Amino acid sequence: MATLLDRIWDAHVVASLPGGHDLLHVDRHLIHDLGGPAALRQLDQRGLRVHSPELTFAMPDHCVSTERGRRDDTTRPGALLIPMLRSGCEAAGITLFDVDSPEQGIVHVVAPELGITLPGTVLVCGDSHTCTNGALGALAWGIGTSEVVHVLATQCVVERRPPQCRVELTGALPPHVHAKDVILGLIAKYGVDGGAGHAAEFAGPAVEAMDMEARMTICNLSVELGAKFGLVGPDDTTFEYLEGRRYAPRGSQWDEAVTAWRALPSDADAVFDRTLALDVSNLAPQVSWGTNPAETIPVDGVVPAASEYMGLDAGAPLAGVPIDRVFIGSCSNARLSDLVAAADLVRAAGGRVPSRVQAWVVPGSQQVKREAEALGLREVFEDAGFQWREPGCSMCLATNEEYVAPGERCVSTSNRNFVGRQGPDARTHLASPVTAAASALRGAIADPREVG
Amino acid sequence: MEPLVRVRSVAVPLLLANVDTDVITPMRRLTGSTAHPLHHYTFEALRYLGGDGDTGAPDPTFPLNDPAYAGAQIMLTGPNFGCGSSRETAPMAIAALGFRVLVGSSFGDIFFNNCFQQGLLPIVVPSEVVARLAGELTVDLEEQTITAADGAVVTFDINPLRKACLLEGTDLVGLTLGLASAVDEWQARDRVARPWAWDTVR
Repeated sequence: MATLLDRIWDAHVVASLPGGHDLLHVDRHLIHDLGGPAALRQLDQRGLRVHSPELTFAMPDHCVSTERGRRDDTTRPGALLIPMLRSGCEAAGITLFDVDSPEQGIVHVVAPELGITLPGTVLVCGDSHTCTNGALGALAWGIGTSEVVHVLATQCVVERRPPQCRVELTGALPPHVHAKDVILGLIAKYGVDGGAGHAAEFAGPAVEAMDMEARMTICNLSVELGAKFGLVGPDDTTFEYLEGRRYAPRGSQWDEAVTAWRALPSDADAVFDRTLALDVSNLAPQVSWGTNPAETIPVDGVVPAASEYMGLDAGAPLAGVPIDRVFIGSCSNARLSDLVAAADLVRAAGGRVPSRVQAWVVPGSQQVKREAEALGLREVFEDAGFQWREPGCSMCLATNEEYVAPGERCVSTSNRNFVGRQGPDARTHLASPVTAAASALRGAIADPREVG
Repeated sequence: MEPLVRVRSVAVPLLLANVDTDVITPMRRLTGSTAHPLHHYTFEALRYLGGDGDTGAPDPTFPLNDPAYAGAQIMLTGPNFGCGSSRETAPMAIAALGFRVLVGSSFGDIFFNNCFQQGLLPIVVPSEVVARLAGELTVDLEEQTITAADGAVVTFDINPLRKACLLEGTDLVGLTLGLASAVDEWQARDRVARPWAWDTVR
């Protein structure tokens, strides 16, 4: 009768607190250049030490430049914050994947690919897209800076067990329709508060058929559905993905771990507080037209309401709207399979990005970048007029000053199309990597089914 | 942190829906050097003409700029207030403007929790109650009541742990540090039960 969340939760309660809160042990903690320095400084100011430094991993991602030959001070925020992160980690004994390290990348790309994220563990990070890591069957969620201080000081986090929501995904994905379209379609159907306050467990045949990276994309946007946690029950796909990764268990401990992980998934008769459902069989590629992720329609649809900010009239077709930029990157869609899918479309379609359009490919990590280069993807993108850049969060939220210019329109594989997210007055259209690639080649919002 | 027991103040209405943390504290004011302290830029895009806190004059149509609400410690907020990025600077910047209490029908999850760490009390009441509240209000945390100038009383729920922290003016770190031995015991047990969760990160 237990759910995956229940099992992980119950195993991590250190103490029960008043008001239904539990003190939970944190098995893995990620910090980055944006929130890490302030948290480490606050800890220091309070005269506290890091409780279990071996359980925290740090990397610069938000503020780091994605220019080739970058340094800390290629961006102003980086110049300030990256040295602070470095010295704070050194003083505390925290493992840091530094700017020039072969492991550097976006926290939610690096943690799974190094096997830092493991099924059945509690993982937190001062970033709302930490729910991405739930794809591996971890209990993972985003926390605030003072909670980061709390985790550093105590290796625990205070949390109340959330209501739980099961998201049943059925059917098989049509060609050129990907995980990003599934989750955007789901958010469009149920709204940005469709899972508000809940933990969302994604299940059903469509989830079982997805590879790990697709599951990460789904879980990544859980928070845009209002759910702080996204989860997928660990299965053979999870174990095959993890085996041999740097921080994954080895030898007899691997077998022991897999045995424990097989007992984690929710029971068939487990009770959820809510159920959401989506049949993906007839789903079209999805593109957002407005300023929250629920304002999303099929790429061949028409804008349902005028948006002054987005410069769109009601009733206008979305496909064909000219664009200025394309951003393929972020913790939603900057993993190898994302870049492979986008490159496949570029190869199949032929042609080049028009010179008036700037199209960027920002791999999610150094490992993704190396693997993509080994597959020849860099040449595919560069030959078609895309820029191939260094790993980081980049234009998803422009913390590193890689802005979409005011008034410019960008098709972006990131997760938020809020007002000003990609820069003041930037117009963001959320989409999958293949839709972004197709749009780059056309210089306009494009249907990948027609381009590739 | 200043204990929060009773707050009496005029309530400023900021009833827009989905005010996200990017709107509350713009990213470009968080990462570089700025001419003013952070709270000068709170709600920057809404609060200043031209959306620029360095060059724009206060927008007279924005409620926080209305002299009638000067010194307000209570803000009435629209649905899903504080949605978006986990940015603790958002409640921090609101607290720095002098606010102690937010009253709204719903809040972004992470924002809601972050408020308590800043000594800010977010109160959830039905939207029709938010719509009815105006003028001078008294929020009594001990009693968990909001009292309007005409004497009408609304009660609210609050988690006892959050309430205790606000009343004491302490935070959760202090509380958990008092449970240090329970943490150490949990870890010792877990190293035996799940060596695979420990040995590769040693």
